[in-house]
Amino acid sequence: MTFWPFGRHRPVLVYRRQGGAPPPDHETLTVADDGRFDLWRTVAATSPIGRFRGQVPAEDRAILEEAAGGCRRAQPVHLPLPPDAARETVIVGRASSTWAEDAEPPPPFADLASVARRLIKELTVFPEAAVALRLAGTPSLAQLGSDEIDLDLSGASVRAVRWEVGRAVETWEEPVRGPRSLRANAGWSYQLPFGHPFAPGDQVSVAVDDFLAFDGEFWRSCSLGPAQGDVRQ
Amino acid sequence: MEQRAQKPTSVPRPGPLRQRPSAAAGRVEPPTRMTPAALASLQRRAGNRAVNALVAQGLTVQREPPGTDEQQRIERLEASYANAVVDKNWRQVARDLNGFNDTELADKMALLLHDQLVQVDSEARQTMIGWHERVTGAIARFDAEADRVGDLTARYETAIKGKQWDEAIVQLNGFNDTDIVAKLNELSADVLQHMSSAAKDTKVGDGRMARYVNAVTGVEVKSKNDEQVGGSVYTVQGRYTYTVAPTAIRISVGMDFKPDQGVTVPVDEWFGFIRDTWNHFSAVNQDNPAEKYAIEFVPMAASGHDIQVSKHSDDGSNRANAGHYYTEDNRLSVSVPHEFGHLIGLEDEYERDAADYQRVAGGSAPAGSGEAAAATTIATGIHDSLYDKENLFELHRTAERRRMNAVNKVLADQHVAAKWQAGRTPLTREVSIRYAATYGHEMSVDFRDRVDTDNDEFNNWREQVLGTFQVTSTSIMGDMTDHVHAVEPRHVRAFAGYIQQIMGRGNWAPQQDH
Repeated sequence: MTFWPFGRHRPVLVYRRQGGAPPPDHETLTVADDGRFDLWRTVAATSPIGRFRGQVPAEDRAILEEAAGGCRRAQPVHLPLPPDAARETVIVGRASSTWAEDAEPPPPFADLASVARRLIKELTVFPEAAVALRLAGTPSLAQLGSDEIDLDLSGASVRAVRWEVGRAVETWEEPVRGPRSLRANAGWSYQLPFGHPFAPGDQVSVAVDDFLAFDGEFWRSCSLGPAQGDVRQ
Repeated sequence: MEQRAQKPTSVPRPGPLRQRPSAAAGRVEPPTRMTPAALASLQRRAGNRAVNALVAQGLTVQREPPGTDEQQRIERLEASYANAVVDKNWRQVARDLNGFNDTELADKMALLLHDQLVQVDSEARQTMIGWHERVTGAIARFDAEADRVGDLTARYETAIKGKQWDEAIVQLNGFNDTDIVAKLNELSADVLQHMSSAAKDTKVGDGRMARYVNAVTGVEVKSKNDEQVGGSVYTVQGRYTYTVAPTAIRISVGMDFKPDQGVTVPVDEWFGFIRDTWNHFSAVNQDNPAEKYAIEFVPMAASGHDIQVSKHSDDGSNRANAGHYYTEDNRLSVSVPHEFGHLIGLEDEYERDAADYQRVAGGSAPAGSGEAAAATTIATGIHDSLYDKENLFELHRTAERRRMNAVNKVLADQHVAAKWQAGRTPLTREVSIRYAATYGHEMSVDFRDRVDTDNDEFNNWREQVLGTFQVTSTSIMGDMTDHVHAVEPRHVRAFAGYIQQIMGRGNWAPQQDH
């Protein structure tokens, strides 16, 4: 079901990115005609996951409305999906169009895809109930936003990858074995196991996979990272 | 009676016949003899090891009174013969054999291998026209099959040299399939083209020869299948060329990398990942396991599949798909071989329903967690939610939404993620098994029957919830985020099938043997 909290007005844009190779995406962005937005992220490399709400900045809103306006008059497009790609769906007016996450759809949809892809990253600066990966010192998960979020860390795992000259050369992985049910509220953080064998000064990226977050309707399988930072045991 | 060819041998000699006392006397001779000169010549050409091997087989070094013409002739003949054997110059071997007396000829036959006798017989027939019978007759008496194959080889090679393609294909049909494949692999592309036309024109072997020629020349295979994964339909496009070599079936896959500006594609490293992952199987004839062809994948930086290569994805997750790889993907050693599987036409094995999984994987879906009580509780809860009755004067969609909410509550209460977790949780698999066992059909039947409105809201919900109970394998074509990424026999079954089609006999199946 499309989550739609803004009453009877039809949104300017409904954007979804779903599926693909595991960990699969479930990213949804809805922008109302007055600029309010509702965003849910499940897979993110450098930004948090969870729920984000607020007002789209005026400049971005103008760009979005111009791009959406062009699409409203165009015939919808449906491009084939290569295996393992997530599917992007944009709904403008009553019509929906679909293509692969990395595809460049034909004009005028190309501009809309571009702005939607940018917004799902940039609008995460407005967390309502979200979780971020902190890399300063020992990696940890931290709650963001005014609202609490339900999490399940029982199936989560931490993965650290050592890089040399832009290539992954060694991987370390360990289960988190966290609680099956917890409510993360303001100030909550959770230190992750991080007994990797890499030496100080190694270039290391960190990811946390397979933890669940409740979006108010379903438990969503989430993934944070890979991200690089000043990490140590 | 000693028979002697009337044609000259390789070494001219004065008299019409020669009688060697040692042979005429019927003395028991060693398996072979060699004069010091011949032995020295062989030592120069083939080295000490070859000479030692011959000595170990019973070679004796003959010392004869020096100075006679006959003795010099025999020394020269022995030396020429020994060198010709070492050089695999079967034409010269045939000619030299003709110079020995019957006893020596028979002795030397006994020291040659079957395949060598075939070559000698063939060369004798092709180059000693009208006077090969003494040598080929001796071969026939010692190894009749070598003489038959030698005769066939001579006819085939004569036809090839004479560009008599119809005759060549007819003669080639007389060989066994191993020899056919080996001989076709010796031909140039141009000649193969002629042989292909001849095979079609003559229809020799009821199409058998056409199959062999095509398989050695190369057969291009293109496939296009739609797969439904996690509720989305993907198009899997396979494209490759297979060729059959004497010991292998080679599958060449063109990968046309299109790097973004400033990106260098580590082609050798990626091709190494592919070969290390995929090249472990052979097509083995189960009726005769000694017969096998290695299944060898050959990725090539060439036209075929267009693959964009970027440093990283837009969102930084760097998950490859069949048409887009990322150099900063930290699972390249798995993701590149996985995507390669799609290029040879394989479907994904994650988030499939049980029936699809069985079709794709050719086997039953994985077992569940065995948590019978918990799984049955969830299965019953889902079923009862779906069968919540529709009230009189109630909109159908109102009832559907109530059922959906009830199912959602069952899942939320049990911490079951509502999509994309398929197969990773043994409990969800157990729920599917219990549901099918209790109600006699898969869960998807009731979902489609009880929440049947066809629009985005209801379709999306069905996909999300059903996805939770779908099946994922841990093979190379399954979920890449876990630790088991093996190629399974089913993934290379098609290539054993090609061997089966080409041979038209036996029972060929893939087997991991290297």
